This record gives sequence, C-alpha cells and structure tokens, in this order.
Amino acid sequence: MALQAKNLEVTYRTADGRSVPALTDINLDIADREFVTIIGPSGCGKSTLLKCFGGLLSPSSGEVSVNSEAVTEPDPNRAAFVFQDYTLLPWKNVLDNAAVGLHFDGKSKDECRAKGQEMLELVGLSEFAKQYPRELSGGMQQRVAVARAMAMDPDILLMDEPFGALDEQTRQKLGSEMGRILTETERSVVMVTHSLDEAVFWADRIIVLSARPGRIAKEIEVKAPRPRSLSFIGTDEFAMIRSELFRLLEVPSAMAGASSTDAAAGQ
Amino acid sequence: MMSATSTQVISGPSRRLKANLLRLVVIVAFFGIWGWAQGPGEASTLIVPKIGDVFNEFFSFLRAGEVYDALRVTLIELVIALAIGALSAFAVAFWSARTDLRAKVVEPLLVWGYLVPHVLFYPIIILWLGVGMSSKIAYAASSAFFPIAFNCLRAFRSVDPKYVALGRAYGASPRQMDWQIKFRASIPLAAAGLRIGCALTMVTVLVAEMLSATNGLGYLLKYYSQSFNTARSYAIILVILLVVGLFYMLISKLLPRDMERRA
Repeated sequence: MALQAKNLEVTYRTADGRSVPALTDINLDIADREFVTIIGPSGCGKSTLLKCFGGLLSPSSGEVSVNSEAVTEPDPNRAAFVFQDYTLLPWKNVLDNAAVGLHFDGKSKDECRAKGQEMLELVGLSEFAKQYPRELSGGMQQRVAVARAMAMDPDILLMDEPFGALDEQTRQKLGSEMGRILTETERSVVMVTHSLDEAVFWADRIIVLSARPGRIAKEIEVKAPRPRSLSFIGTDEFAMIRSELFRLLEVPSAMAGASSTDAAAGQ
Repeated sequence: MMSATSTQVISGPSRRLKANLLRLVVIVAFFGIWGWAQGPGEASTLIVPKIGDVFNEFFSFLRAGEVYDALRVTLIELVIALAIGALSAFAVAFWSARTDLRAKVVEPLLVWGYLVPHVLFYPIIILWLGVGMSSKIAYAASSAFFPIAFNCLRAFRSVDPKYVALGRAYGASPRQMDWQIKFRASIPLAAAGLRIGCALTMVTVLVAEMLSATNGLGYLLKYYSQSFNTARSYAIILVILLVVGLFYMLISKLLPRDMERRA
C-alpha cells in the first residue's frame, strides 16, 4: 500500500470565524504503481486533498500515511509535487531547477548535476540544461517540473492538474510522452484533473469527488492496461466511463446527496 | 524620479539606429538653441555663457587639481552614504519582514520617513557633525534609508506564495527558505528600491554640499555661481552630470536586471 487516507476531514475557518467544511469522510487506499486520477466539480477540494497527501496541509482530522508512515510535513522523497503552474524558479537554470530538491537536501553539486541531467534526459530536455525557464515553452517547463519531482525518487507522485495550463495540442503530445515516462518509472501517481478525457485516459482508478464539502462519490476502475496509446480514446470502455463521468459531474442530481450539502455549505 | 524599474527592449538594429538618431537630433537642437541665444538672441553671458567658454573651463578643470579633489570628496560621501543607508535599510527591512506585527508597525513609519523632507534636519545635522564630510554622509544616508527600507520590506513581504509552497514541498530548511527562496525572489523589487535610493543619495549629497560645506562638487558649483562665474558653473554642472551618469550606469550594471518575467 503506497498511500492511505483514513477519515480525512478538512475544515476551513473563514475571516469572520465560521468554519466551512472542504473535505469530509475521505477514505482511500492507493496501491504501489497505481495511477489514480481525482476529478470533481470545481471547488470540491481536489487540490486540498492532494496537499493533504503531500503534507503541505494538515487535515483537521483523520490521517494520511505513505508506506505506513504518517504524513505530518512535506517530504519530497516520500511524495513529490508537480504543480499546475510549473513553479520553476526563474533565477535558476533548467538543470538547477530539476535538482532543486536534491540541493535543498544538501547533496553535493556534482551529485545534483548528475541526477538533474539524468532526469532531464528522461524527459527529453537534456540539451536545455543551461537555459532559463522563461526561454522554454509551457509544455517544456512542465517537463522540467516532472524531472524535478522524479529526481527526488519519490514513492508517490502528486500532480495537480499538470496539463491544465497547456493548450490542447501540447497537452496531448506531452500526455503521451508522460505516459511512457510515468509507466517506465513504475511509481504510484495521484493526479488531480478537471478534464474527463484525462481522468479516464490515465487512470487505473478514477476517484470522483462530490461538490463541497468534497467526499468520494464514486470510484471507477479502468481495466485497460497501461501505458495506453491514444487509440484507447476510441474504445468502448473509454466512451462508457467517460459518459458515466459526464453524467456524474454535469447532471446535478446524479451525484446523490451532493447537491443538498452543496447548497447548505455554499454560502 | 530616476527609478528605471522597467527595462525597455528596443529590438532590431534599425530601431536602435532610429532611437540614436533622434537622440542626436535632440542634442543638436539643444546646442542650436544655446548658440542662437548667445548670438542673435543676445542673451547676457551672465545667464547663458558661450558654449566655447564652458568647454574651455571644462577642459581646464580636467587639467587642474581642484576639481579632482572635490570629486574625490563627493564620491567618498556618496559611496559611504549609500553603503550605510542601504545596509541599515536592508537589515531593518529583513528584521521587520519576519512577522506580521513588526511589518505592520514598521511599514507606516518608513512611509512617513520617506515623505518627510529630510532637508529640514540638515541644519541640526550640521550642528551635530559640523560642515565636513560626515554631515553630508549622515544626511544622504538618512534620505536613502527610507525608500530602500520601504521597498525591501514590501519586496520581502510580497514574495509569490507559490515559491514558498515549492520550497516547502521540496524540503527547503527555514534558512534555505529565507535566503534561497524568499530573499532571492524579492531581489527585483528590492533592487528597484535601491535604484531610487541611489538617485536620492546623489541628489542629497550635492544639495548638502551646496547648502554648507568646505569641499565637493556641489560646493564648487555654489562657489562659482556666487562669484558670477557662469561659464565655470556650467562646466562644473557638466562634470556633475558626467559623474552622476557614470555612477548610475555602474549601479545599473551591478544590480540584477529585471529578469523575473513570469515563468
């Protein structure tokens, strides 16, 4: 078991002192090498959940553990983040960005360079090592961000809408490349997305969250073996799961019980 | 204000040529008007000296020792004032940025200190420190302190939270977070404050020398203009403009460029 969440609950306190539940009753087990996508209506707490998994946010109650160790603070060797807006440091070149976690960890310069270069090769950017993030396209920057996460050799990769800021073509191209990389490295991945296609295409298992407060409304398994080629999008399995997701997310009454709590918590 | 916070990008050789030509036109027009005022304009040489006289004076300055002595005094005052002002401003800003409370207390004080005309205190500073170099340094350092401290504090407080989140997620220690994330991310804005501080230091040092001093470029300017030596006054202004320009160029070279375009 790579990651385990038990009775996870997150409550926000607003400026005027009211408490707003963001996530409630989250129980989840993620297996080694499993690829889990999390999808849900906007504001349902997808990113919050991911932050709890990575220790960036402490849950109000319940607990998260990775390989049976409780997560209380971020540890990139345990769970490494890939952020939506890449968040490369603009004052460091690509190589130093890829190795930034190793650098923070106090690894020697040579070690950082070697590992960073290796990871850049993995994502196909080794010849851009000396360049600065601003000189790279969005898709390339996101690959650097993936290299940075992989350099930590994490048990689990946490990706927050990693392709969200990219245009459709880049997204597909990067997607199929990432598929190869993530499958080759045999890691558990949790990916938050708002795209139905992405949620189905990537996942061994899809977690559908209900509207606020977010709770697990449904888990859907995708049986097709990974890595999948783009032709998977044309299969019946893909179409059926996608239409079910569509129903759950776009038809308010389909997500049982979610809409009433949403109305109560909305304002 | 000479705060060149935005770096203009004029690309292409033809555009650069155009810009340089225009600059040349402005300079030629300036001297044209000057020459006209001297000739057909019949302006008094007490108001507008002859161009040739000014340059003669300028070159005789370069040969004589007097101006170098004044230049040395002014430069020493400038550098020491800027160093004291900037370092103390940086220390105060760094300390204040550590907690919300400190920032809340200190920030309005810095704004207030920024807005107050420091020249008010100059007579008192002279009483304390005399008319020598130390009073110029104290006065200029105190005027440079506030804009630099204010901008540094703002810079430290407004670091994009996404960089802080990145630091946390990738295991930065508190020290690494301070210096390698927060400090590094705030450099562009802090540098803008330093530029303003530089400009202010130059102005205050020269003004202070003109008000009361025993040496320095500002002192020379006052001395020549009060003895109605207009050509010499203009020549000394030329020297000052060159010094200010060079100093500013040097500072711009030393300060990091605005490289943090949204990545």
